[in-house]
Amino acid sequence: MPEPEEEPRYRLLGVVPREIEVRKKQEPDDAVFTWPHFLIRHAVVAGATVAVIFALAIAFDAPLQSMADANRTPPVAKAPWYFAGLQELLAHVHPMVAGILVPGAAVAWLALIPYLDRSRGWRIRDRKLLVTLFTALAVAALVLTLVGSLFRGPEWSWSWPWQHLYLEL
Amino acid sequence: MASNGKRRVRDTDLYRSVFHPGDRFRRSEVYKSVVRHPPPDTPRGRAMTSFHNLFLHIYPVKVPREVVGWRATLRLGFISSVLFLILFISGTYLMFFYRPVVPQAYLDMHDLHADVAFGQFIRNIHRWSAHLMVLVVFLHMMRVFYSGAYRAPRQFNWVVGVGLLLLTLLLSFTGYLLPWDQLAFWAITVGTNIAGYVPLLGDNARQVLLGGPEVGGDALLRFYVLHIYVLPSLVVLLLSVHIWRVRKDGFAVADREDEAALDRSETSPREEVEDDARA
Repeated sequence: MPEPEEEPRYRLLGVVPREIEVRKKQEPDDAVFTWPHFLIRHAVVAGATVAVIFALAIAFDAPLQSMADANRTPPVAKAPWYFAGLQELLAHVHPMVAGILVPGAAVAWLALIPYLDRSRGWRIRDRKLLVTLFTALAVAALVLTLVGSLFRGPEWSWSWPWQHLYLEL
Repeated sequence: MASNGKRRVRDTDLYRSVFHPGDRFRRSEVYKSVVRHPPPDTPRGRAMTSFHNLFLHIYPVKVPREVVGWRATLRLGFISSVLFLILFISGTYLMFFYRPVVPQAYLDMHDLHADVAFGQFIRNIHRWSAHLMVLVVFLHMMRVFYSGAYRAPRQFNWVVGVGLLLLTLLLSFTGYLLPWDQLAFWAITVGTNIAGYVPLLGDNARQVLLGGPEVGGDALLRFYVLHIYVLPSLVVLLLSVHIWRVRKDGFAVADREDEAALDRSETSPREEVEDDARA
């Protein structure tokens, strides 16, 4: 006598949110192999970077002035160009504000950007306020750096770079 | 008949040694012991090329097609890494000829220019790479911000990136003093004066940095140790985390494609129906 067939049993494994389903469906088959497509491009960029640096090193010598002497003050003592913006700011506001508070707050804000950004999309039109603030900070830093490094002469007076450039890299 | 003859000619050792000179080498025991993957001319071979190479583990086996084009990233992060490598190699060469002692440091710089093979050239490479690295790291940050690539799940990697930017600035700044010439001395004097205004600590902060009341031999030694050991170690550490997170979180551009597709499917039900009908 044949055994009675067992009733099929079903079990619910879980309910999956719709996005995951969609994402799985779109798992990028549009991807390409790193070797060779990506690596060859990286090799070319690395080669080009080395070539640019070699060209610069052949064309321009790194400066070497006379030996350091604490008793001989130069006409203008400038910080390296990337700190020239801070030095320019120091000429206008209290050192505590220009040297510590402003850069400290700027770096803290920069680091926190991803956690402050509550916009819905990644496009610039989705994050107008943040993009405006960031651009304002970047432009301010750029202007201060340009003024500090190119437009300042003896005793931090205004000096046109085409008349005399007080900048050493 | 003719094709058979052609094949026979192609299989001869003479033909292969002229037109495929690497074949014999690739069949050798030495080559097979070093390169363990099959030739990368099949999908399996290409994937195995990544799996079997320690250095290629930093890359995923496959990347989104958009990343292969330069527009998605402008390659600025990669260029920064290349510059760091150039700085590491050229800096090692310079270390053979430099002593961080006053006034020997300056005299060594003179000797480097006059007596050391490629001394001036390697110093030039080191200096211009350092300036360029500061610039490129800045540009990389701008690119990541404007393309919104810091958004979830990449928030932490952005923070690591800000740390790397600060380390890059500090590396460049500490290196600036090492030639011990007037330019270096006064730039660092001006730069470190700011440290005297740190709240609560005041001038103590500056003294800790310089090892004394003003820029001198102690400051030179401190900047040297920071420049050749402490800061590069931190950069290697953070850079490893940074690249590893890019690898784990994936490229932002791929998410954007997903997001756009999601938007489309949410906003136009007709398209979805058509997709289903096609399936």
